[in-house]
Amino acid sequence: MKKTAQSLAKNAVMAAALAATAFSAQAAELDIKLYNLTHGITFTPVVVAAHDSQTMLFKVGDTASAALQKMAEGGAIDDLSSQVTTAGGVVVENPAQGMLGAGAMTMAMLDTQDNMYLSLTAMLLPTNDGFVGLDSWKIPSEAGTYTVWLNAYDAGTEANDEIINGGGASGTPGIPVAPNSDGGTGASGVRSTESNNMVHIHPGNIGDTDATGGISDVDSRVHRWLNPVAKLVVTVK
Amino acid sequence: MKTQFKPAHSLVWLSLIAGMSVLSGCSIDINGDDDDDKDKDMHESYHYQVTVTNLTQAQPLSPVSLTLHNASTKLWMAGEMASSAIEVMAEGGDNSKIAELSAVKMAYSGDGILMPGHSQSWMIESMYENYMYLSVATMLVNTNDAFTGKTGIDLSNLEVGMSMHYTTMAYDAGTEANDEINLPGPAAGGEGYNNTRNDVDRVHIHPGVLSNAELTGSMLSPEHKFDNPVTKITITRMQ
Repeated sequence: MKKTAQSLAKNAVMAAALAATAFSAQAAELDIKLYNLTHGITFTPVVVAAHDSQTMLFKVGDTASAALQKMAEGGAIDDLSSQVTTAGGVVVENPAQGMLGAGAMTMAMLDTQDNMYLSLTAMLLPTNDGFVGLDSWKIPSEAGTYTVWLNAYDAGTEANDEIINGGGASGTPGIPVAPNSDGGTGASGVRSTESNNMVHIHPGNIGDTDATGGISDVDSRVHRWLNPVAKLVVTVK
Repeated sequence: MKTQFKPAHSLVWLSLIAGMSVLSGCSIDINGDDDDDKDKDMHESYHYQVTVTNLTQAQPLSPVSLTLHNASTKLWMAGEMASSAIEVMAEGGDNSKIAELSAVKMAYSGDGILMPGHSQSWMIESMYENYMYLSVATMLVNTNDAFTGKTGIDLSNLEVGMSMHYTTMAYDAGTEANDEINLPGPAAGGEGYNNTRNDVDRVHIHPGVLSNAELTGSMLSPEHKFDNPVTKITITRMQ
């Protein structure tokens, strides 16, 4: 029995070696570092995906998918992640093991196999449906270290009312939470409608300085940003 | 010789935002002079598809100006004074003065506003070896004098079937104070071009708009705020 097990293990190793050979022309080992560059915005769990040219997490100028909406409004990456793996892509989920705060960095390693494109998303808190994104960056074939600056996008699925009420489910108005307990309460709301329902560049938070009222539960001194909101450093080995 | 392709309805829209008289000067002017046959710099015709996507939340873009010119031409330079042609476009959305610039060999215009979240595409053709530089320019109409685009894109090395991608910054023409009142877009329907220059008089990166949440009297609401980039440009060589 023992011998058989060893033999099986050996076969498995060989199979793995063969598989590696088959993909060696395109496979890339990536070391990834993601820096949150904002003043006071928190990233929810990050999903990093390597995929083919037909797959995407999002695209500017297109309507958000239900999976993207779920991530952008509530931070849940499971549907985005399974869409990628179903299509033959590979993902790293939640490398920071939770929230990635302002000023923080997280690292991930990714074997892209035969996938040529890299994408990334994470929700921005506190926002209604803002997210940091990378859409289908072509993974360089040459070994080296590459820096990519990432922008904040608006999923276009929820009006930016800036009311913190726990609303994180798709279609539920409001912001789920200000993770650093630096948000307000009792805001009347910045806006109740949004005319651009495509994925677009986020116009930014408005905020106010009234913690118990005003138009916004977001603090204009803490929760604003300008692009870029993140730096991605990718080392192709 | 200059070839202009200007669909009539673009000028109708322009007249709405810029207060011009409807249809004045409206024509499709395809100059058929024989001069071109004598041009020594002519080569086979290169065709490009240019797509512009409006990435803003609520800033419609004026009819997009696409022009072909030589390598030494820049339609604007950050830190320098805006030309009159750029001022007219950046304050009122009228791109016709850009098309008339002597440096411009061929000019195309979008046939209407480019709404937030939407894309428009054009097929452009270049047949002049020395005029293979493309400029794209358009106004953010819910502003006093914000514009965006890219000037002097070298098309000559793009091979058939290949694409180039750019994202663009919002510039402030520096020719009109940002009072957020005298703006021609649907948020205010106010004044467009005015030849008075009452701002810093140099092109610079736009500081953004404040909106009525922060500026008393502003005709803008928070949705009109924007951050860079404001458009995405894709250029594909078709033949």
